[in-house]
Amino acid sequence: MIKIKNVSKIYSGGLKAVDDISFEVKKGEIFGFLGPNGAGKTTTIKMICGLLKKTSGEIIIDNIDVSKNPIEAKKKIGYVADEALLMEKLTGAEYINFIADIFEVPKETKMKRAEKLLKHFKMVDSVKSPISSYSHGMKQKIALIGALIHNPDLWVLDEPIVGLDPESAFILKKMMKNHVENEKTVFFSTHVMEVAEKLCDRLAIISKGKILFIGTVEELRKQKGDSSLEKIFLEVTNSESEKIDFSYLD
Amino acid sequence: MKAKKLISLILTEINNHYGISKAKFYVKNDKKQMIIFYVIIVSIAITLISIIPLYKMFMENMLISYAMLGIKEMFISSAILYSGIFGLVIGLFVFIGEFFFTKNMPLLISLPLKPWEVITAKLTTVILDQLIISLCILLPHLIFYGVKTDVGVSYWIYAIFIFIFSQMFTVTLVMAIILPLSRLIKFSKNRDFWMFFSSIIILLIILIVPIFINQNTFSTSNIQEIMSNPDSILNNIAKTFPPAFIGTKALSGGGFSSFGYTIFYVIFNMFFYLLCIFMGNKFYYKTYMDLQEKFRKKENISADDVKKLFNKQSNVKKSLLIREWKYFLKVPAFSVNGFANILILPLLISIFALTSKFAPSEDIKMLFDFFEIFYDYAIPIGVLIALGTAGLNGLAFSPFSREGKLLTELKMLPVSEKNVLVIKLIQINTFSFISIIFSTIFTYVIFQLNFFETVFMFIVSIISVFAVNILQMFVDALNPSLKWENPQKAMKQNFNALFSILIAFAYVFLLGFLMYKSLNILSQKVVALIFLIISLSISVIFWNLLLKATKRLFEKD
Repeated sequence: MIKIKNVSKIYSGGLKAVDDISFEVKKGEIFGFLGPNGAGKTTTIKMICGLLKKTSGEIIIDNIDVSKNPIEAKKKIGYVADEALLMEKLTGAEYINFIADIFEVPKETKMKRAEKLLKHFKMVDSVKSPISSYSHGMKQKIALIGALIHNPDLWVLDEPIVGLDPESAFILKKMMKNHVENEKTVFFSTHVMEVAEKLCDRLAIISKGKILFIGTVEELRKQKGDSSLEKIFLEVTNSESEKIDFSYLD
Repeated sequence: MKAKKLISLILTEINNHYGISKAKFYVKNDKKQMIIFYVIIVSIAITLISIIPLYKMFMENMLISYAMLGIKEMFISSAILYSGIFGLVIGLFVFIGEFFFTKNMPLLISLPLKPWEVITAKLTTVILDQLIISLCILLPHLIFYGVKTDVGVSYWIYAIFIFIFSQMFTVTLVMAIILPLSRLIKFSKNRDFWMFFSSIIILLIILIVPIFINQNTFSTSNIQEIMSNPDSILNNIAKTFPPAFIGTKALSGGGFSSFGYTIFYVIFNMFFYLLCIFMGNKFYYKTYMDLQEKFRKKENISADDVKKLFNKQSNVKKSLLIREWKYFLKVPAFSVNGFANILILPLLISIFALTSKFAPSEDIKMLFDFFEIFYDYAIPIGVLIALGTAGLNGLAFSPFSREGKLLTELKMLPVSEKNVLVIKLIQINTFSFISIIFSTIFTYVIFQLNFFETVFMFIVSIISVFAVNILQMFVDALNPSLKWENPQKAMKQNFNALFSILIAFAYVFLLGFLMYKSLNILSQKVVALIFLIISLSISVIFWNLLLKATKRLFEKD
């Protein structure tokens, strides 16, 4: 579903955020993208979604080159940013209607999906209010509904669990699992190791712009020993956080 | 220690407001930004150099006229007055933006700062912002007057004080309008809109009432009174705008009187500055907190209601157009600014034309007779009026700046740049259309055009305004101001506005010059036809450039 070949991204200031990464995400899998802050996760996701131009390499979504045919590629994707990109002056209903119209979702399908999604995410009673009045979690939920209303072949979710209440997080995880059962794909980034462990068919760990590991959680454990995923993550990313002495705060 | 804390707060607030550190960083580390920075500096310099001769000529004529009436001091009073009036209009938006819409307020509230400290910092920022108006209006007048009337050293010292304190009274007035209003509107659902809308209505009343009070100032009998007693007009101004009276006395009295009035001017303005802090200390924090309580209706919405909400479908272009209008109408800083730009002047000239036509007085009849000289130029003049009123609508120079962070949302959608651009163009030109209609009514009534001439003028105006709109959109596509928290920065405090004003004026001057040079040789219809051809050519050429610039913008990081 996603083919990333030798992709690099150098920002205009000279910062190399992504350094020659290559990997493939297959149809029907949940793929987790892990890495510390500033590792290049969001930059990679934005390049996949056509929001950022890559400096070199190739990104293919369902046999469509994102650089050559961005509009067709975007039609395949349902994207939710780490910080929801919403027109806050609109009501929730207006926003969903707008996204559904842009993705040319038929009226009847839209009505059915909107009703179910709003109900599942417990957003029915707030749908007539402007988005600016929503809490952080509610904004995240309305962005998720917007990304799901056109039932895309590929979900690209940047830190989707952050800000969600436990029930909504549970529903989303269930939806992700349900989504891939129909030969569709989920690509998401997260900091929460438990989520990655429970959800992902495969995962990639990125640090300082380079991919350090690609494979299943079992494969990662085989390589790095049977400790907790959090410890393995810190070891893979060469983090020295465990050694920090906070006594200077005393 | 307290003073150190306050100074640090004021400097931080100013740094944040103007993005000084951010600009320094990017100019140092990003070549592209450095080039943009220098382009802006050069463009401002070119703008100033090109405007200075015209401005000088304008001031010279004004000073000569006043000197002939024996009231050359009026030159200073009118400069203080106009800079105050402009300060009042623009200050309203700056004040609302700085006090109610900046995102650093939640942070400031969380810090161990007293309300008056935060208010002092914010007020200083607003006054600094407002001083730009004094820099453009008051300062050139003060310098010109000083140079032309051969004044002493004390004039220049007093002038510095007059300039520095020139916006304090205005800001107090703005605060006096907004703070009580913000308490009143805290219960309303659309508080942002009501804050802007009701402030503007009150401001209009404040500006219009003195006009009616002083409407006889320049009548024949009053001119005689002015000739015999030049101070009478100053006394009238004192009733309307006291700082203009005190400032004029400080700069024209001479000797101890000037010194005394300068001290009085400083104390007068400082009093209002402190009054602002006192008022703010008393009401602002509470009001701000109340306004942060978001209005969300908790409704029980049935399944049928949900279905009703989603039972309409639009095609891609229509939904983009709906998005464009909703975004514009629901952000008060955009809609209020936009409608003020597009409606006020055209509406005033249309009302003038219609009332003059149907209720003419002797003076108006004389004015109409005067307009007869221009009957042979009516169609091109009508087009120029339409360009002047519809060309500067505020929307054309900010189509991408107004998106701000939401440009990413547009990039995310499976829609081509061309579609986005076409929709923006449709919205902007629909908006300009309102002004073109008013300009056409005005021209039709004043210059007594026949039906076909009116239609022809209307069509040429539409195409000419279309060309100017495309030029302005091109400027914004090249370098939009996207990183703002306060929507005001996308419109009134956007550098593209300056360039667009220059472009629109240059276009009007170009066509006006063409008209002036060709009217003795060609008929007005042919001249208008030339306008049409020029505008069409510019539209075609710049449409392609605009499209390329938009594509580049959408590909940018």
